[in-house]
Order: sequence, then C-alpha cells, then structure tokens
Amino acid sequence: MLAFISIALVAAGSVFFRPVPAHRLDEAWGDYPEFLAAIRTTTHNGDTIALLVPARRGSNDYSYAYFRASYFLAGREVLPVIDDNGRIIAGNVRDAQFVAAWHGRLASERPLLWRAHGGELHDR
Amino acid sequence: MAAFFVVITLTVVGMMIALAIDRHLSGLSLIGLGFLYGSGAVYVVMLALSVVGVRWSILNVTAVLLLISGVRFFSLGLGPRASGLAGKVTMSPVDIVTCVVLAAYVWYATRIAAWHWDFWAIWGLKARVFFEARGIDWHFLGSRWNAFAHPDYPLLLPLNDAYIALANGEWSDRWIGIQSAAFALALLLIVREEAARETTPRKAAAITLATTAFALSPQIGLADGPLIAFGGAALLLIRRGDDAAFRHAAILLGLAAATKNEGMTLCVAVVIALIVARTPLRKIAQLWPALILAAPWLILRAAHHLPTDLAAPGMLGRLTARVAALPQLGEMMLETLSNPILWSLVAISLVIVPFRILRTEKFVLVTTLVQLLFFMLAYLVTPLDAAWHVASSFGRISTQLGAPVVFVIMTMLARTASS
Repeated sequence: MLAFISIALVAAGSVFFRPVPAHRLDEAWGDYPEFLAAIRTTTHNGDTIALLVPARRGSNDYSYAYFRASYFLAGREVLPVIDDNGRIIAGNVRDAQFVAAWHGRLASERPLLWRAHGGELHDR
Repeated sequence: MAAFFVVITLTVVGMMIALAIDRHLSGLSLIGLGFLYGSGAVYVVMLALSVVGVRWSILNVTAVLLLISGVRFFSLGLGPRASGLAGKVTMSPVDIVTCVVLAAYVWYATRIAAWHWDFWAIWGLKARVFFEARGIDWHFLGSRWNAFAHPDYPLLLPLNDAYIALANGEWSDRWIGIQSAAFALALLLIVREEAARETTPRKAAAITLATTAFALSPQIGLADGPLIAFGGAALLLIRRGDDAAFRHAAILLGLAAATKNEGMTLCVAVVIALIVARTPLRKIAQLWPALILAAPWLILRAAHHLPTDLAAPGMLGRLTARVAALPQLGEMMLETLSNPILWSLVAISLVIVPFRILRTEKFVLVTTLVQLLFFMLAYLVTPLDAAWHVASSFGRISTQLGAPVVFVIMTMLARTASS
C-alpha cells in the first residue's frame, strides 16, 4: 500500500515541479521576432526570401534563427544563405526575390527596401 | 480562443462517431473517446480534401465532418448492440486532487504561446504552412531546405492545428495549449473509467491521479501529448480485451500511427505483445482498422519521396558500428529519463508484486519493452550523433507509454494489497 500511495503522490507532485514556461530564446534574440514580423508585412505568400543571420550554420543560434524565420514567414519560402561549410550559397541569394539580413550587411546591388529592428530587407 | 470552440466541436463530432461504433458507450469514456475521435476525423477529412485538391475552408471541412459523423450517428443500426462500456463511475474525494492537478496543467499549458523549439520547427511550422496554403504544401515538404522540419512525420497534429487556424480566421499559437490539455483530459477520463471497472472508487481515483505524471505532457503543442493519449487509451482498452474495447483500440492505434512515427512502431509492438500474451490471431486481426488509418500517410510520403532521416544511406553500417556502444547508450538513456523518481518507484513495485499477478499484465509490460527496443534501435541507426540524439529526445519520448505502465503497476499494487 505504501508503494501505491507513494506513486500517486510523487506523480501528482511532479506536475507541480515543472519549470515555468517562458520564451527564453525569443528574449535572448532581442528584436529578431519584430524584424521577421516586418518582413512578413512586406512580403506575400509564395515569395522567396534568402536569410542572412550572424551565426554559424549548424550551431544552435543558426538553427533558432532559421527555424524561427521559417515559422514567422510561413507561406513564403525561406532559403539559407550559408552552407554547412560556411560558404555563401550563391544560387539562393541570386534566385530569391528578397534578401533579408539581420545584424549584418549584404554586399549586393539589390535595392534596399527598409532598415529596421536591427536588420534590412532588399528587393530583387 | 478558437481552440476552445474547436475542442468542443470535435468532441461532439467524435461522440457521434464513437456512438456509431458502440451505441451503448456512455459516461467519461464517451467524452474522452469523443475528443480523440473528433481529432482523428478532422485529420482524415483534411487529408482527403487536400489529396483530391479541394482548398480547405472552415465551412467545407466542418460540413464534411458533420456529414460523416451525422450519417454514422443516424445509422446506429450498423453499430453493435452489446457493449462493455457501462459508463458508471462513483467519484471519490481523491478526484478533487486530480482536478486541481489538471487545473494547474491547464494554467501551465496556456500561460504563454507555444514555446517549444520543435513546435516552431516541426509541428506548428507545418500547420502554419498548410494553413497558409489551405492544403498540404507538398513543395514545402519536398524542399531540401526544409529537411529540418522532418517532412516524413505523420500529419494528424499539424492538420488539427490548421483546423484551429481555419476556425480562428488567422494563425495564432497563443491558445494552442488548450488542445494539449484536451488530449490529456481525454486520456484521464478513459483511465478513470477503466480503473473504476477494476477497483474501489478511492483506488481508481488514486490510479488516475498517478497517471497524471505522464498523461499531462509538458511538451505543449508537440505530438507527444496526442500520442500519449491515443497510445495510452489504446493499450488500456486492448488490455480489457472485449470486442467493443478492441474496436475502439484499433482506431486509437491507427490514430497514434497517424500522429508520430513512434505510433507506427507502437502498432507493431502491440501485435508482438499480443502474440507473446497468446492472444488468438482472430482477435489480433480485429485491429485491422489501425492499418487502414496508418496507410494513407505511408503511401503519400512514399509517393512524394519524403525522406526519413533514420533510413538515410549507411543505416546498417551505423548499426554495426554502434552495437558495441549499447551499454553506454543504455546508460545515457537512464540519465536522461524523465521523472526518474517515479520510474524508480515503478521498478521497485515490479519487484514487490507477486509473479502470478505480474504475469496477468504481460500485454502492457511487453508492449512497453518492445517499444523501448524500437527506441534503442532508432538511436543505433540515427545519422545524427547518437549521444546528442538521446540527450535531446529520450526524456521526452520515454513518457509516451508512462500512463499505461503506471496504470497497470497501480492496479497490480492494489490487487497485491487486497490479497
């Protein structure tokens, strides 16, 4: 009976000891969500957007930035700019309708659409 | 709050389907199965509409849902007359504690918008993409740049999330936690009724309370919660063993397979466990609806060449190279186990319970063991770093069969105490 009661108490108690949920990653990335929201406002479903962020591909930071952009910009096609070896994926930069750079400058002839929330968006 | 109204709608739709399957179904199980079937129905309808090229709208999806459930409900003659689900449950003061735990969980699940990494990268992402496309976006799934979103994963949850967005008129992940809470509640209702069949109201309430540790999944917005509900309910109903329970279990198993790849291995684990438990083949064959529900996605993902990362080239090589590291792998799995104190108590209980009682629960215990072996196999063949893969996933997936395991351990302890 002791085991029976112990399991019930430990089980119920464990639910109360879970960490309080928080958007820690978003908080750590400052105005990145606002930057993505601004891109969403400028672009339309079906558009392709090449994304440049100051993080090494394969790192957790890069994954966060790329996944979050894909989520915020659902309906648009988000393309990475850096490959696994750290080289520029020229095809993606060339083919994308828009190029977005956050905390970085893009050496490009593309016209600048806007600069805000720590980043900039270039048109084709 | 569209999520709340969707949960109510799906429960009503699902209750009609559940009654069409088993017209004498009532009580807590009717509500629990109702929501689970409702979420399964919306998956089937949206998948079918997308395959035939019909753009989703809240009107056409809901209309088809109501049509299907209504036709089944009003053709009750098709349903069998006899049922084992009596639906009579006497409540106990312990149930109040469970309600408090559940209320705390609802707060936890809805305090903020969905926050899990895998929600943005997999489940929520697909739902949002499909919502924008008003159908399954095969281009998105097939793009090499979106391999991180695991295009091969089954789509029950993303399609349910997309339905919430259709009802809302726009994408919002603020209240998606309501859906996670609904899956948890559905399982608890079924657990409570199953426990009530076997023991006193107080013990049955305590068993339900104990299962909250695993039924209330901390992974809000991820597919683990729905899988825990579908898989856990299926195992408990198969364990009961009558024909009506098997019919429900077959559908629930199919929905588990439509939720996560682990749901597919669970179907295999169940069949193996039933064979080990010397269940007649005729009885096992009654689980055929699970295959029907799992098949469409398997066919579609093969037709669209959606890759499964575990099956990446070199699988056999990875397996043979890592077999020697199996003890270390097992050690890592133990280290990352979610809720270790509770699992320790479960392990101790297995020693306390007499063997003659233990062998009566062969089915759930063997299913869990076989599923665990599937997890180990996945870690052996993964193209990712195995240690990283274990560390980042085992704590989460080890909770998937926790609810039925705790249920059988608690019932065995109750029987041991009585005897």
